Amino acid sequence: MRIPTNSLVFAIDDDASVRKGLKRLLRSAGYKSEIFESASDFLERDQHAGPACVILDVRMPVLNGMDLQETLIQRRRDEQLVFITGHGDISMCAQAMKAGAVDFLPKPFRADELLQCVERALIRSTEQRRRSAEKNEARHLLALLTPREFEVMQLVITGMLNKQIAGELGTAEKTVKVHRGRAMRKLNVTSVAELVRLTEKACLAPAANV
Amino acid sequence: MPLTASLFYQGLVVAMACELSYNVLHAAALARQLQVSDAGLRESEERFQIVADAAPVLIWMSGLDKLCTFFNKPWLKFTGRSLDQELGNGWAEGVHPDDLQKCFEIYTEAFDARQPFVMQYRLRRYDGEYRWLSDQGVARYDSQENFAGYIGSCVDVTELINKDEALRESEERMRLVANAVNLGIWEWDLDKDEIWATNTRRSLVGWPASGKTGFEDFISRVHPDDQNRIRQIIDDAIQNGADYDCEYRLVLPDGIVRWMATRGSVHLDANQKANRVFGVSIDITARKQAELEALHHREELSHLSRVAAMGELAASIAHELNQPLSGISSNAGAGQRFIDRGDVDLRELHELLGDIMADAHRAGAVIRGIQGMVKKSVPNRQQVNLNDLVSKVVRMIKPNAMLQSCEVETLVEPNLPPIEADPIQLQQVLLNLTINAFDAMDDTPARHRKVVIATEKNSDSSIRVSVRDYGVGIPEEARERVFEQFFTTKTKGLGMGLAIVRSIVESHGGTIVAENADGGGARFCFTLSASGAAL
Repeated sequence: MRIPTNSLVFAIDDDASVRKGLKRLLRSAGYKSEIFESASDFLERDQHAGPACVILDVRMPVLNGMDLQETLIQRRRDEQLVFITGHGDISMCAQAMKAGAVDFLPKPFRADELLQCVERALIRSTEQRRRSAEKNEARHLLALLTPREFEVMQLVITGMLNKQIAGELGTAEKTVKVHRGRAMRKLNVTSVAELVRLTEKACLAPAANV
Repeated sequence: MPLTASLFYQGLVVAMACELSYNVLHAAALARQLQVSDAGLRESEERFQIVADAAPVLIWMSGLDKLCTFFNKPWLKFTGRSLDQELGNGWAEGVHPDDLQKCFEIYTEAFDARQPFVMQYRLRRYDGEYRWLSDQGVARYDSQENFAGYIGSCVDVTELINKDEALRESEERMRLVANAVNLGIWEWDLDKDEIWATNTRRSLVGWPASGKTGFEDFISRVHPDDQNRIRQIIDDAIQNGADYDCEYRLVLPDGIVRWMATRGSVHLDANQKANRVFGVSIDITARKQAELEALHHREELSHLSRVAAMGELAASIAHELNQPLSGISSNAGAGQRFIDRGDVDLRELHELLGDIMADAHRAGAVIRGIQGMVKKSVPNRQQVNLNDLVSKVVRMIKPNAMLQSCEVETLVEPNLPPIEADPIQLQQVLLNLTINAFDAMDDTPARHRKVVIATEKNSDSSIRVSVRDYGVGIPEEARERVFEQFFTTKTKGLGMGLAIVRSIVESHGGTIVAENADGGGARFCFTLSASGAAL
């Protein structure tokens, strides 16, 4: 998978020579990067619109790596995190990985290993961004349905026949057929399979089968 | 020594009795002589009576019918009765009822067999008090050598008996106390190699309650790892006629191991030659176990805290080194990629290599900083006598030595000049070397485990201290490296011990070398200048 050109790599480290080295390494691999001395400096910047990854040290003064991860999760930010760390922070490593970090590299890291992690992080970020774009689009379409159409649609995706849906909703089969047709048109789908996929993208669960 | 005292008094009683019996025989002979003398019977009887009355003992005589025919004045004075009252069996009225039966038996039996006898019984004195008498009787004969009855003499032995009784009581009390605290008492006759021991001791060692026992019966029960040491201690004590204290393990027939503490005292004969060893031994297994547990615990703790301290140090060293190394790694990786991509900006590459060099220097500075940190501790220099230091360290490592069944020998040169040094640091050096020596002998059979700590004055007035073990020695390829940081052959070690040892010795202006000793094992020697440290 190609990494979109609007991707951006952030690196945060309190050590000047590490920052300088990282900047150069990322440039040598063709990444655009922005380097920060502290986690709070990074948080002051607006969120990047494209795929993004953050390389950060676990141990930093004031706001450490774990704190930053927690802040980003709270703010529903989707930057992918690559941790680098000094000596023996195994428990922190496990915690960071559980909270969704891409990887955890011990210092001194190997340059190519770090670049592989960055690549993985950006791919993950790209995919995640695509998924959330699709979700937004699907939810946008679903919002066009009337409440009755939405009701019918929810029963259609459970695999019920029109007759069954009519029975369920206490209405005529003919009426169900009309609602169903309208909903399909609004959602721009031609088959039940397509409809199911759309609702999945919107992260919409089928109505509980009563 | 109550035991011997008691024996002594018993001996004294017997000796006195012998003396008396001699007197009686003498008196009997005298009487015979008097009887056969020309002066006639009556005169002789009178003479005899005078002699008998003058004797300082109670004398009686009996005839062929076993009935008493004569009592001397001292007897009558003693009982406060008249001769008529005492004659025949009258004397028996004064004998304590509890002793009477036995008295008659002994007397009758000896009389019928014409054998001399000695008996003790209580006789009522004139004041009503019963006194213990030792009564010795012999058969008497007339001038024609015909059996004429018995003659006996008695002496008041109440005081002696009381003393004996008191001794017996104190002995009994002692035995009870000894039993109560599980104290075993023993005596070893060196000439006969016979060990007498109280039942407590016999059961402690696991010997049957009776039977002959010698030194080998004892030493064979001692734990194999302790046998040589105990033999040595006892041999030395006998050689020097000195007291000794020791602790050792006994292995009982059922395989159970008990810790014993013994205090022995060597007894010399008139020629100053050791002939007996007296001793007391007590079971200290419970205390020993507690001690060993505490020691284990302490060792574990100190190891843990050492590891923890090292961990802290390692973490901060790692952090300090990781930063420049990360910089180097990033820059080197970037440089490679620039070259691989074919667009090498030489100026940028130059700058990049400059950064790498700067980071490398920074890493070097970190390492120098650590070395400086070790050396920077403030020295506390004072006059130190290395021999004192050796004895102090030997005391400190005594439990370790015991635990590892290792003998520690010191060969110190007397009258060493003091040196100027930090005593705590030097103690650390010596402790470290000694504990290393113990550890080096894990695979050495216990009877060969020995550490020799020696001090020696060199001709240039420097002092050499050496610690020698009988372990595996140092592999040739490791000899150069043993003093390096983080070099270790121990699974549990951190490899800092000898590095610290060397840095201390060198900070005192001294030198340290490691070598393999003749006859196996390693020897670490450090040399310090007696005229004070160079720094």
